[in-house]
Amino acid sequence: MNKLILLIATIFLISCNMERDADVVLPVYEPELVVECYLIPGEPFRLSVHESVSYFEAPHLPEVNDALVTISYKGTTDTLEYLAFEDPVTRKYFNYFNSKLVPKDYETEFILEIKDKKGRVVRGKTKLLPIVKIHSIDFVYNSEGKGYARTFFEDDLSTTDYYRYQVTRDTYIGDEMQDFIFTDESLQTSSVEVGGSPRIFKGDYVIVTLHHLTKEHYDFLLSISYAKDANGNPFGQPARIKSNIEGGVGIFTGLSYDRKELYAF
Amino acid sequence: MINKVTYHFLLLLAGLLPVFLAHAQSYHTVSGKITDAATNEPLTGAVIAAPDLKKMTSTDMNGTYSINLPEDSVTLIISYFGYLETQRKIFVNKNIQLNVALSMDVTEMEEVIIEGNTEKNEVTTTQMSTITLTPKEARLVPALLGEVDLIKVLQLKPGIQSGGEGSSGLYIRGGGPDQNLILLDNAPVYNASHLFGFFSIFNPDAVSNVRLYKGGFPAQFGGRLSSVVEIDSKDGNKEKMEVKGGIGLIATRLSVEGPVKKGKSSFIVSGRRTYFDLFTRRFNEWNKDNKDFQPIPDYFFHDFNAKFNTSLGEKDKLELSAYYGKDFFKYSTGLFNFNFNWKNVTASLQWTHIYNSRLISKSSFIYSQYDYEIKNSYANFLFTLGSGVRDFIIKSDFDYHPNNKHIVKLGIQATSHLFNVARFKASSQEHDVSFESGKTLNATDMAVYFSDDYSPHIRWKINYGVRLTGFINEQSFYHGIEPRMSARYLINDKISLKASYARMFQYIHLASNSGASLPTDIWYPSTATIKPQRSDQVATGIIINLKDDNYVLTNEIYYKWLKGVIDFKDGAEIFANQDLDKEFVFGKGWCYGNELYLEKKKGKLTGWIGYTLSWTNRQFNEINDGKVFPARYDRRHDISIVSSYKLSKRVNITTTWVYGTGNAVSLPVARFLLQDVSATTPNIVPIFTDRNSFRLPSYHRMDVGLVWDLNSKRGKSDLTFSIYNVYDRRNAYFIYYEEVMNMQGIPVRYKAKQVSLFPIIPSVTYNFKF
Repeated sequence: MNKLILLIATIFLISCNMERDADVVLPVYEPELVVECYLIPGEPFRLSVHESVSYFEAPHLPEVNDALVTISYKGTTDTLEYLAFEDPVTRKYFNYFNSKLVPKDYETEFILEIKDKKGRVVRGKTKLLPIVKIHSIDFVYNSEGKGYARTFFEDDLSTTDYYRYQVTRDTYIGDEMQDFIFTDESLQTSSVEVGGSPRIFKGDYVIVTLHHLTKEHYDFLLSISYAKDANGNPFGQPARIKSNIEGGVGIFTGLSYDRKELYAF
Repeated sequence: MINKVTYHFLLLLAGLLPVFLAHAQSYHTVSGKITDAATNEPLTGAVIAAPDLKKMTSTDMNGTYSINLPEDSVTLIISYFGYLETQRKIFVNKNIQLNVALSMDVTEMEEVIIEGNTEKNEVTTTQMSTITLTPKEARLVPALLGEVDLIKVLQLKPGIQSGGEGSSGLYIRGGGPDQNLILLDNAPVYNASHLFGFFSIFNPDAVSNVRLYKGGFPAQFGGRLSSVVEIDSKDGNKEKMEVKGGIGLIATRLSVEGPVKKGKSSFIVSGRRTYFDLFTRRFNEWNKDNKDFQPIPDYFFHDFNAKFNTSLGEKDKLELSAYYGKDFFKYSTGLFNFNFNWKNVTASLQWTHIYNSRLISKSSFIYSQYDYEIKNSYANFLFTLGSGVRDFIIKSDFDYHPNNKHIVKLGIQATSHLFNVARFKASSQEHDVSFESGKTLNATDMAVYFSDDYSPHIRWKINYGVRLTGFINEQSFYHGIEPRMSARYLINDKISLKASYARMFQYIHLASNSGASLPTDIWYPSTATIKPQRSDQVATGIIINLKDDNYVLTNEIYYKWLKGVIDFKDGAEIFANQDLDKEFVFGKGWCYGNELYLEKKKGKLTGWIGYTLSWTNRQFNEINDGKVFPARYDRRHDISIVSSYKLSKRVNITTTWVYGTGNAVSLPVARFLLQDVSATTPNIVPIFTDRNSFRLPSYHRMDVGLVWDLNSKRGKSDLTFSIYNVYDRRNAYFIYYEEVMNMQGIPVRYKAKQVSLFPIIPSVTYNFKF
C-alpha cells in the first residue's frame, strides 16, 4: 500500500520538482557486526562478517577479519577461519570458511558464535528445513507475447510455511524476473500455483527457484523490505531489522530450495 | 488517581441531584429563537441579556435560547456581532415565547470581523476550549488554490494543528486525526477529506457554522478521545430565492436556496466540482504519441449538500439533510490501469418538538457511510480492493429548563455499525487464477447522558454530567462511565476563570500508518483483542475582555492522559489485511501544553495571535524498546498570526503567518550491505534506531488574501485573490537519503534530500450572489 501511495505522491511531486539538499546531523553511531550465514546441505560452512556504518560515511565495506567464528551442532564445534573470497557462481563475498560440509539433517540445531577483538559477541541458532519440490512449470503469454512462468508445487497445509519465489533469465544471477516472499497462511488448497507479471518471451532461458524459508528468514527479509521502503516514503513506517542473531544484525539460517532451469515454451 | 476523581465526582453528582430536584420554582422562563431578519437563518451565539438583573444567556447552534427571570418587568437586550442591537421590554408573569429577528448593521459590517466566539458569552458560559467559526469569517482568510476551507481556518487557532503542508487533517491537543468526532448535521463523517487530505469535504456555501470542542466536552458528545467538530449546514433562505456560487482555479460551486412555503419551510442545494481533470485529459491526449511522456493522472471530486426544513405548526420542526461526495483518481499507462474512488454519504432527519417553554426535544435518525474502492489491472490480471464503514443512528436529546438555576440536558443514542474490512478480489482475465478475501464486522454502541448547567451563585456556574456508554459486537462487550465537569468563576463581568474535566472512550479505531489522512485508512471496531481507547483531560483557563470588549485574551492549560492508544507493529501490513487486530499494538500517551490567544474583534484592523507550547508523547512496549517517544505531530511551539484590514468599503486585505516546530520523524542513522542469497544487486539497508528522534526543519509560511467587492446591479459579487506561501518558503514535507553516483554509476557518497509540496501559489476566485 505504501508503494501505491508513494506512486501517487511521486506523480504529484515530479510536477512540482520541489527537492533540495537537506542538512541532517546524525548522532554518533557505534558500528554493529553484520552477519550473513546461509547453511546449504552438502556445501561448506561459510559466511560473511562486516560492520554497519553511519549513513553518511563514504561507501566502503568495513570487513571484520579478527573474529573467532564457530558453528556448533551435534556436540561438535567447527571453527571458520578467516578467508576472504568471492563465489564465482553467486558472486557473493565471504570472509570466513570451513571446508566441512553442512550435514543434511533437519533435526539438528546449529549454533553460531562470533567474537571479535573489540569484545563484540554475536550468537544465533537455526535448523534446516526440507526442500519443497517444484511439481511443474508452464508459461502464460499475453497478446503482446510477454509471459510469466506458472509454477506449481504442493504445500503442507498442516504447518505454516514461508516461501521465496525467484525467476531469473539466463543465469541464477541474471535478469531478475520475479522475486517475492509469501506464506501459506491464506492459502486454502495444498496445490499451489505461483505466477507473476509478464516479462518473459518464448525461448528465454529461465531459472525458477522456490525457497522454503524459516520464519526468521522470512521476517528478516520482510523487515529489510519495510526498512528500505521507509527511506524516502513520507507515508512509510520506520521498521527495525528483525535479525535472528543477538548482538548484531543479520541472518543465520539454512537455505532449502528447489531449482528448475528451462527454456520458456 | 483518575478512578478516585471519578468516584468523588459521582458522589458530588449524587449529592447535588436532590438539591436540584427540591429547588423552588419562583421564576418564569423566557425562551425563543434569534434569527437573521433577511434570511431567517438562526444566529448561533447571539446574546440575550437582562442588565438590570445581571443575567445573560446565549443562543445555541439552532439559534434557540432560554432564560429564567423573576416575575417582574424586564428589559432584554439582544445583540449579535454585525447586527443591530435590539431591546424588548416584557412583563414576565408567565412562561413567554420570544422570537427576535435581527437586522444586519450596515455600518458595523464596514468593519471586518473575524472572530471565534462571542466574547461576552465566552466569559459567562461554563464551556471552555471551544472555537466557533462561520463561512463568512473563513472567506476572508487566504486559502490554498483559492478554495475556502473551514477546517484549515480552524488550524489557525491555538491547540489545533494540521498534519503537514496543505493537509486538512486535525491534530488537536496531541490527539491524532482518528480521535476527532466530526458531525455534519449530527451525522458522523468518517473521512472528511478530498484530494488525499488537501481539502475538507465541507462546502462553505452550504455550511452555517462550525463549532469545535477540544476539551471540557459536553456530556451529549462521546466516541472520540480528542475533539468534537460540529458542522451545521444552512437551513436555506425562508424569505426569498437566492443563488450563490464561485469559480476558482480548480473548482466551481453553485448553491440555490429559497422558501418552499414562505416563512415556514425552505431548502438549500449546493454542489461543487473540481475541473483540472478536463485540462489534464486534453494534455494527455495531445501527448499520446510521445513515447517519453508520462500521462498525468486523472483526478476530480464532486460533492453535493441538500437540506430541507419546515415548521410543523408552532411547536414542531422537521429537518432533512444529506451529503454525497466522491473522489475519482485514475492512472493509465500501457498495461497498467489504476482506478481509485472513495466516497462519503450522510443523511439525517431531525424532528424538534417544543413541549412547553421549559422542555424541548430533538429526535434524529441518521445514516452515514464511507467506502473506498481500488480497481487495478495489470496486463491480464485484475484486482479490486475496498473497505468501508456504515452507520445507522437513532438518538433523542432533551433540553429541560426547570428554573433559573438549572439547564438540564438528557439524551440517549444507539448506533449500529457495519465494517467492511479489506474486501479483496484478484483474478486473471482467463479466470484461471482467482482469490477472494475480506471480513464484515457488526457492532452496536449505545450511550445515555445527563448534564446540568447549574448556577448556584452569580459568580459561580457549574456544568456537571455523566455519559454512560456501551459497545457490543459478536466477540465482546465494553462499557464506560464518562464523567464530565466544568466550572466558571466570574471575577467581574470582564474576567472569568474556568476549569474542566472530561473522560472519553473511543470504541472504533482508524487503521492508518501514514501519518496523513488518506482515503485508504480503515475504521476497525474494538474486538476481544482490541480494547477501547480512553482519555482523561483536565484544563483550566482565564478569559479577559479588554478595552470595551474590543479585545479578548484567553489562556488555557491542559493535560491529557491517553490509555489504550493504538499504533502498529513494525512493518505492519494494513493494506488488504482483514485481520487488522493482529497488527495493532497498544500503549499510553501524555499530552500537555499552554494555549495563549489574543483577539482583536472590532475596528478596521481585526485578527488574532495564538501561541501554543505543547508536548505530545507516546509509549508502547513493542515500539522503541518500550521507551517514551514523541508523536510525529509533537510540536513544541506553534504560532499563528491572522490580521485583516479594511482598506476601503470594498477592499479587504488579510494576512496570515504560521510557525511551527518541525514534525518529529524517524530517519536512518546507519546502513549496512546485504548480499542476500545471491549477490546480483547488493542491498543498502537503512538502520532506524529511536522512533521520531529527528525533527524536520521548522515550518513557517505567510499567506495574503484580498477580497474586492464588485459593483453589481443584480446582487453581490467579489473577486478573491490569494497568494499562498508568499515568500516561497520550501517547507520540508519529508526527508530521504540518496546515493550520489559517479560517471560510472558507482556510489561515491550519500546525502539527505528534503521534499517540499507547495511553492508560492497565487490564485483568484470569482464569487457571486443574487
